[in-house]
Amino acid sequence: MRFFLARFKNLEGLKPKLANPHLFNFGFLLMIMGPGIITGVIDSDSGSIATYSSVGASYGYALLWVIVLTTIPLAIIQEMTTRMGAVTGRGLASLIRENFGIRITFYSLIALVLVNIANIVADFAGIAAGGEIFGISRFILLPTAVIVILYLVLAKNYRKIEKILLIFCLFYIAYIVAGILAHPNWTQALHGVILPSINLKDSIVITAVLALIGTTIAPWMPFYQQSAVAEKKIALSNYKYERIDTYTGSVMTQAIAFFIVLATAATLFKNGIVVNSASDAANALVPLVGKFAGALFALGIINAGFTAAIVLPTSTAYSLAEGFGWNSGMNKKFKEAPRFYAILIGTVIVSAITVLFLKVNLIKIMIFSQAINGFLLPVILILMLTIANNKKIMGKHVNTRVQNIIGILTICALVLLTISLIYFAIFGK
Amino acid sequence: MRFTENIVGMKVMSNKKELIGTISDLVISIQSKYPIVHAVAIKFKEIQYIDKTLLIEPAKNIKLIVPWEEINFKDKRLYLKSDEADLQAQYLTDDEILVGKNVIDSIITNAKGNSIGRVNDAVIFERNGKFELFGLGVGIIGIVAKLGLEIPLEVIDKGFGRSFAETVIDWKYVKKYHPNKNEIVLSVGEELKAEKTINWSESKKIDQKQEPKTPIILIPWVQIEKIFKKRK
Repeated sequence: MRFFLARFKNLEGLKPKLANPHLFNFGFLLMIMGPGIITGVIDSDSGSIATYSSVGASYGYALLWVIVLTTIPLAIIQEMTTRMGAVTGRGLASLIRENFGIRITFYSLIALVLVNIANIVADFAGIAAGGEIFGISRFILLPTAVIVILYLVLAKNYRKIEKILLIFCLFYIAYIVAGILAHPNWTQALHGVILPSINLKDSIVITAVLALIGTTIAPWMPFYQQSAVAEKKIALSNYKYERIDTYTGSVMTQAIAFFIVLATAATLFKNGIVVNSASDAANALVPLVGKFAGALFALGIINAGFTAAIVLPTSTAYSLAEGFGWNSGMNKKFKEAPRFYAILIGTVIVSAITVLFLKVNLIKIMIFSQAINGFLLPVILILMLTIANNKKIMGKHVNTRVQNIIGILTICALVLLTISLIYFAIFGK
Repeated sequence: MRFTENIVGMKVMSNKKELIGTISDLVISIQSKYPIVHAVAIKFKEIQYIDKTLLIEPAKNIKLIVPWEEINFKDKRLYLKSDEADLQAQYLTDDEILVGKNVIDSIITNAKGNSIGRVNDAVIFERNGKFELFGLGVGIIGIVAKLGLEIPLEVIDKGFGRSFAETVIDWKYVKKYHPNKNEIVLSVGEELKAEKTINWSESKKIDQKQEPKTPIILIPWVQIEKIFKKRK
């Protein structure tokens, strides 16, 4: 396998050597896999874990259906962005700039950077809180994490970083194990999946549902995945493999979310404990399910924070550099793409320093981020749908009717939820 | 000196001096050293024109390409020389492109294949009653003009005495334009030095009819790289 992988550093125009190209090549699939799984799995970052834990602790199994249902739009949206990357060979920010001009690009990117930085701060806070559960000071853990991240992004190329991230993705299994160890009530869980229930007059439930959707379909995801597909130079002829990668990533992230809700519903909800952060959940889990499951949960938080603290700054750098036309890419050296690396390094260091030295109210930051997200995400999705339906750009690979319907329904759902949240914020419950 | 931003949207008057539409884009030939705008895309409010099948078509809000010979430019307005009903539908040839649609927002790469920025706006000079594409604005002024943030920048400029240099790449350095990739390739690979820097206040003072004397070239995209190299 190693030999097989080493042979293809550049995937441009590469086709599996099969007598019949319609046959499936599993080795080739393994080689292509990466952008979809990484984007999907790392979607469950510290902020997401906090949201899932909080939802599980507050509502038990009742909102599991939201997680199952959101898998479909997530997979459709990620597939759309992957297809756009494979067809055009360019990132999403590039396509937005070229098709909608500087105004829309500029304001979208400003909002994206704010949301991303809020999430990166939450991720470093997750690393710090996770470390403190094991008695490691944040003043040791965070600088170490920053040094390792900077070493990886500056010294390694895209392929190596992708392999490292894929290995880290394996550690997310910790949540599935923790979920099973919590001995959930499977009958109630099934009930929560197949019988959707939501009280539209309850602003707190609406907030929880919006938070679940917002944390699942995050705006950094299409930007990162499309840029990764473009950087990996995945040709259109290999697109069927990348599509499997994308769907796998979407299902994996929702499986992780599902098991986190299971773990917290079976323990914290049952005992009436409400949590607001991932580390609270890990701490609260220890007396209920034992040190091992609690430690697994805490390790998961550190791992999630660390991987997201690599991917989110990279996504930010990709988006800004593509939007403004600067040289970008993990395969380039610092001196070849100075602005790309300056943004990447800057966001990592600023976020780490914020967590280390400023007493930030993480919940307020996340609410702020969710609020911008509520406006940003529908805009990004509308732009994506417009590009994905443009025959001049996508040729015969334009969206199908089903993809458009699901995309439009997602936008409508997001807009409705955001409007209802604003309504509740202004007029109270 | 004008930016395309200031030209697009200008009023177009009929030969009877009635408002009939606005400029929606400029047509240039990519082969020229300093491409002359030889046609404009006009958005007509309502017009009857002869289409390619020689049928007379009545239409509203339609965009037509009108050759420069058919128009006069006077007092920030275009005047059609003949009756608009006599205009025949024109189509772009292979070496013609639209400045607004094709050039602006394109990515600029140097001869080594490195991206150096995107075209924020095109800089246009007026010479002998004709528009001439002088270069590609890649600096902050082009961006603020597009974002409609000119006033704050002017305030900062006056208040703090800070000058914002505009960055314009002379069209003579453009080697190729790839319409499919929205990419403009320059003929130079090495770092370009500024031949002249023009700041915000100066750019405002320039007489719009003034002929270009010195090309204004400043490519500051490698500033971080320069610092990096010095430290080494």
